[in-house]
Amino acid sequence: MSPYIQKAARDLAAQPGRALLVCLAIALGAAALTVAVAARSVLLREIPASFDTADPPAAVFRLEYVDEQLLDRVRALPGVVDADARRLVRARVEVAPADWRTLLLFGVRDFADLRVSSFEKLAGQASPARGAVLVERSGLPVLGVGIGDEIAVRVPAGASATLPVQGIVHDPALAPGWQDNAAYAYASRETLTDLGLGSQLDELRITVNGNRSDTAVVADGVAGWLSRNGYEVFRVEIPPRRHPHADHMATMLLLLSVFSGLALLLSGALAASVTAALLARQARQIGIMKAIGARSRDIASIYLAMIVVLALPATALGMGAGLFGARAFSGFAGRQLNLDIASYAVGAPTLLAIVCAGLAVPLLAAALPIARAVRMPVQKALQNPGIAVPRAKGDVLPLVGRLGRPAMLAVRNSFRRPARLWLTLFALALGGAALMTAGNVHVSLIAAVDRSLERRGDNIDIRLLKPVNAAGILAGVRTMPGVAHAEAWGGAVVALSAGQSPCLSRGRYGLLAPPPDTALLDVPIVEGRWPASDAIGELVVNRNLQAIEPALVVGGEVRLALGQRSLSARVVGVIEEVAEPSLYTNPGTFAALAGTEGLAGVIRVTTEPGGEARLASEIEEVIVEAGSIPALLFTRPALRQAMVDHFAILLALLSAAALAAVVVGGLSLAVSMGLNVLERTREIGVIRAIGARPAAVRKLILMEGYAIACASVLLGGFLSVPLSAAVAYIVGHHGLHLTLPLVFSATGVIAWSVLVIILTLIACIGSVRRAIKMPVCQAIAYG
Amino acid sequence: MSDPELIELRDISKRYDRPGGPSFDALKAVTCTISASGLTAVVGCSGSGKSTLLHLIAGLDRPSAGSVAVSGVSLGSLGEDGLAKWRGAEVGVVFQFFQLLPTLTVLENLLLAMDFVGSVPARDRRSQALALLDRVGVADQANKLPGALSGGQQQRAAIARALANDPQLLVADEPTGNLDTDSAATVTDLLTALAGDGRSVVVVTHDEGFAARADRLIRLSDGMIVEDTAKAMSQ
Repeated sequence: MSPYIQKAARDLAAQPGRALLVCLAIALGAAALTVAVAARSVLLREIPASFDTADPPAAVFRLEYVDEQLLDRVRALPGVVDADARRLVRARVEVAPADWRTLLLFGVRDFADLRVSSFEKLAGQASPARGAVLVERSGLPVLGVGIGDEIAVRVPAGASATLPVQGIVHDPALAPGWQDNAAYAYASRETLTDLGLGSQLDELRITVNGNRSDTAVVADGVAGWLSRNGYEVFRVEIPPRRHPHADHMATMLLLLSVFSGLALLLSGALAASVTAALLARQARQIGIMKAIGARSRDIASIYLAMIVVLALPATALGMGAGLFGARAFSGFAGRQLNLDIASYAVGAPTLLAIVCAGLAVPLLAAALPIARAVRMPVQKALQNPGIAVPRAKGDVLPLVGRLGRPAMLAVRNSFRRPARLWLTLFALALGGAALMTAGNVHVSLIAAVDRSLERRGDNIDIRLLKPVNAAGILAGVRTMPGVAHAEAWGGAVVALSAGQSPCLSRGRYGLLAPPPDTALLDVPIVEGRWPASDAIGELVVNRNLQAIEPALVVGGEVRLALGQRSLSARVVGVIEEVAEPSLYTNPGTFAALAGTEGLAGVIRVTTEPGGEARLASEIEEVIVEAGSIPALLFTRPALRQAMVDHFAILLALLSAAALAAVVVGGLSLAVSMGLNVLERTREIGVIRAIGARPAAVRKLILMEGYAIACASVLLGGFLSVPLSAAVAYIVGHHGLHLTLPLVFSATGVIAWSVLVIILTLIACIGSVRRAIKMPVCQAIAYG
Repeated sequence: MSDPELIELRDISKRYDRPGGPSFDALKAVTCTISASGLTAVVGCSGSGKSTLLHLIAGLDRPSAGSVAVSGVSLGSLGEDGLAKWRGAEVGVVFQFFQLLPTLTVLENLLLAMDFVGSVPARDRRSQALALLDRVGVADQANKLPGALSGGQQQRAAIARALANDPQLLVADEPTGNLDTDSAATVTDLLTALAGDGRSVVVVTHDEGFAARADRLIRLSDGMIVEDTAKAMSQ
């Protein structure tokens, strides 16, 4: 073996504690990097892959009916890969007495031959019997049922039925039901017939090869073929080929990238700190080697070999732990999105990149201290005491001089290794900043939700499946005890037309038409203006819709379709709100589109606090009596919870990243204190020799630790401001499409202060234990 | 009338275990007493056990066998806390390499030693510390950090620190070993004078001139006392 490697290995063996610390620092950095990079790699691959297992439709045609013969003919059309029929019934399900929630009931052509929009059987039967249903797993928390239980269902015509659950399935193309307070069920045509809905399936769903532009061409062709062959096409929709929560996923992956960078930075800081300490003890040996003829490159080779010897197993260890963490995080993200991760495998190029980074970061971090050590003159190296000896008092704070002697000693000691101090402070402060940022962004998100709800002013928001007479429904609702204010808005789900065909839509979104004097909407316009009350064809869109339909800018033209009617409209304003993608217009425009006046599609109610749930149930009965059912019904607490649930994955990511940063920061402190104590073993011996008891020594080291901890809280607080702003920007603009109000949480500061006290206690007590146990004479002779 | 005995060593042995090799007996059943005043020089070759003996007397280490008693207090009966308290109050230690705390000024080094023990009233500590520094001739260096002082000045400051709590016993391990001739002479004079003030000063030294000025000379070889000569008896 090369003498270089031999020296490196034996030097490390002679300082097992320090070698272990270097290993730990490198392993931790590699682990953090691996979690971020590997999880990102897995999720980038698995999210679309899992989504694609559902064979999501490229286009959906709404017809009067779809039969087997039509399906066979459509499958043979150019560009069509496959076709299937489906029916979507918006129904209600009773989850507790008088507590109804949204149920999307899918009528399925043939459970044994799912060609488009397929789902996977998880338990029970694959095909439900007549009068029974299968339920999608993500709605189970809402329904609170299992196989063999029954669910009470209310359908648009007003009929009610009790349907047994015969199986549980997984449909990865659906947004998690528990997040939207909704459930999904699947039934046969016979069951639909029994519910009074008829046996016809009215959606033709096709899959095609190619992207969304290719799909539009194929869909146009199919729509033309259908018309030419006597099928009336009410609507064609080309849904975006992505998971409903793709925005959240993109934000999460972006945040993962940010945290990968931070992990690298922290790992480098920690590795630099411990490597510098390792080399400090070698100064005299470097002097000796130089004295006997070693050249700079010989010495540099020895110490770089030492770092490689440490970095190789440490990186392997860190990668192993990191892959385990990445698996756990990816699995969690998958569950949050109702997706299954089929494979947690990480590609060889990704692994190679992690290995390279794992080796490069400590080598780069060590380069500076190695260069410094190598350049040291022989005489200076031979006399190097291994620890800085100050030449002037140089108290950083005037207050320090007024502290007691032990505190003064502690504070001055903490500044003896300025580079190490700054690295430790940086790592610790970054941990604190990450924790405070997680708290700040959490509070900011909640504040954005609350502000959005406050601006709406209502306690109950109901979207009707079929519009009802506005005056009649309002008369019924306003007389209910507990109702403070009620408004009936025009509203419907409209299609945005694409291309020349008015029925070919890019997507379907909620159009809301509040009365001009509404008291239940106060959203500030961020671009343009609100539609004039008497202008027909003016629209306001929210940022969430703009994110999906970038052409909808102020001045942009769009054609809206509702049933067989359509209307050209122009975007005149843009708003930011925490809501689903929506459009707003005035009642006149809505009436022009709907072809009739005086219809209500949305009911918003303000109630006395606490009575929302009871009133919502009573209002639902009034709506049913009026001949409709709610397509969506949210009380304010339920809506707030649903909104917060949508952020769960982001908050979990932030918390996990903060926790990792805190661990790295805490470890940095432990490493730094450990090295400080190790280097000052002799001084501690002297202090003990002149009468300091073990408790006094512990107190001194603790004071030193707390001096660093206090500085870290201050620095962390400062760092958390730009970090919170950056993360809030990413979460706000990429995830929610709004400017998140940046709120600073005192809880984060308090939590970090408490945590840093505990971390310091652990780091210092652990560090000083050995120095106290060592006999005084041995401590004095230490060097 | 002879001075009362301050230190009593009975059959003390000290064995060091060496990893991968045979253990090493630094002291072998040493028995002796040292009086409450006067300068005692401990001499011998390297590895003879001088420093080990000094460490045991000062309570800086514990014997493998035997007992050490100082002022009637058996050091073996004291725990770590008790031993630290005893050391601070009863012993002053002077090291070859001075061992002043580098981040504290010379004055603060003395004050810290007083803080640990607490026997000097807080309001008197500063004046007493300055008086001690004046006594050893470095009062003008009081507010400097040790790194700014010469070796001789640092050693005198270290002696002042050793006297901070007015101990009866002063031990010094090669106090002139790292000094130039002039500084060594100054330190030797200082320690000799302190011994003349009714204190017991035990010095480990290689300096034959210094040893010659001692009231008593103990020579060690291979962990055993091979010569124990009191000046009064030799005259």
